[in-house]
Amino acid sequence: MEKYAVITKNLSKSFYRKEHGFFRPATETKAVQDLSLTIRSGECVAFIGPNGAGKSTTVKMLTSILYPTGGSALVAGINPWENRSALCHQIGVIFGQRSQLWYHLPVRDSLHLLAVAYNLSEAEEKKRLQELSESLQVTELLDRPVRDLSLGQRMRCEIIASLLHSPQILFLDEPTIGLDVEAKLLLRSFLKQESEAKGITILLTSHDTGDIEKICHRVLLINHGSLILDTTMNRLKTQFMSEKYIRITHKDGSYQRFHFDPRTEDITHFLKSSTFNQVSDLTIENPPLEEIIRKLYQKEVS
Amino acid sequence: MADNQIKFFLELIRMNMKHSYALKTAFWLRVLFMLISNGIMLVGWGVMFHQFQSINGWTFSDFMFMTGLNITAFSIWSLFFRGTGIYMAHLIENGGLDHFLLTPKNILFHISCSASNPAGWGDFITGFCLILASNLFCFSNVFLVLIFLICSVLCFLTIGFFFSALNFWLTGFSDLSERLFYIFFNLSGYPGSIYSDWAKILLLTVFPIGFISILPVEILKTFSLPSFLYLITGISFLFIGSILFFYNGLKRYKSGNQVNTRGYQ
Repeated sequence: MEKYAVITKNLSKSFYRKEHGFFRPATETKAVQDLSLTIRSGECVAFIGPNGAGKSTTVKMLTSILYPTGGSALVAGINPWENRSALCHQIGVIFGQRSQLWYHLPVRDSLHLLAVAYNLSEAEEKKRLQELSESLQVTELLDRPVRDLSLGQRMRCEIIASLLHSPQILFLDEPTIGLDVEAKLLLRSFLKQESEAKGITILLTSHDTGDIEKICHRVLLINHGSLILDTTMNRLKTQFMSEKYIRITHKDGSYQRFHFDPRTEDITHFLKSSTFNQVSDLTIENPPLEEIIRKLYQKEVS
Repeated sequence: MADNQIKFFLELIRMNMKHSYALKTAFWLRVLFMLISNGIMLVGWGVMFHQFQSINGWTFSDFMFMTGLNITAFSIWSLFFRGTGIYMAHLIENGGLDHFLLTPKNILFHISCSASNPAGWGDFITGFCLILASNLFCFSNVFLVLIFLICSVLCFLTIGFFFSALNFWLTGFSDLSERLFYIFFNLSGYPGSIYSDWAKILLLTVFPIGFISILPVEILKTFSLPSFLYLITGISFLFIGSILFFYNGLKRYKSGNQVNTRGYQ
């Protein structure tokens, strides 16, 4: 039988705001509407959508932070709102904008507190901390106060804090926000490696297409709180944008870039009709993922 | 599981102490100035009692015991449970409970024990000395005084939980929560004898500061079992009520996206 890490059925969340006086009815904003989806154990899924689409709200419901206004969900087979404590042992959460580290204290102290919170033995804590700090190259940072760390260093320590208890499901909300290129690459390859080696399920929300492309195999597009698209990364690249990019490099080092749609245009005809002098290289590429997602968002908005 | 919870909370308190001592100069200055502040307050009351000898039957010794109990209880709240009150109110208002909800430990006490005010040590020293110096204290009633102290801490926690949890319903209420909390604290610092009978009924029910400023002194002066049982059951009832109130409000929690790190003094 197939194991599911996440199952939601008609999951909904509305926020209410008193805008017209205390005694008048509150205005309802539907953040998530009848969201039904399944994620198999070990899958790496990108949860994308424009700002305000309902991504973070969904993640917060699945992690027991928010109570839903309707529907049901099972995360690691647990109802998040009925058994929060059991769920916490199964999930790890990284919010790029939040910290679970103590500002004035060395990183090691915060991590020790978390180890106590998750009932890790001293040996387990030591082993896991060594394993994670070596992978994320932060061993020498563990004894420094959090206030002395750069954003990238702090984020790597946050990842350790979220993975210390070896969760089965990882929720990542903008994990690479504000990081430099090198730190991003390190984080992405680490997360991919953890997922592949330990079968961790990853649910990633990010506006960075690099994160999505490097970590995820499946994409869920959400807008106005509803699921719009559920597809694999490969199909997203090939099916939802048929345009190809042609880059022609000339011998003098200059280059030209064209895009054409193979469904409506014949490539041989296209090449014959163009005049090129002294071509040294020719490449045909799919459009970047960023472009595909931008088009999908535009389509959604229109 | 209970021992794991206790182990976690002891570790959390240790972290808090370490966090507040991380800035050593600030730590010692806050303790020192709290001692000075308390000293000034006591000189004021001392001058008054020197003039009038007693206020509606309360002597300076009674006042010292009440103030000692009040300040010691407040210092324990301030050192170990400072997370209630303004810190919790701000967390609720700004959607900062996420991390606490993601930790497999009791959320209410996790937040409560997540902040500490070093100035509390100044209060603790003052309060402890005042209790010892009062004529109402003697070694035969140590156990009773300890019960009063626990009840007074529970009273501060009750007020803190209640005013913080109001922020689940009323956005923008956090500053008012703090003011209301300190109004209660300040009211608990006046001799219980100044209040009329009607005021006493209010202070021993809906505004429970009478559990700090009225009942303990009256029980110590003339022991009355009904009063003692009322103190215990009354504060337990209010304390449990405030916890239920918090958890009921938690279902309305909205989360948020502010950038933050942990640690509050």
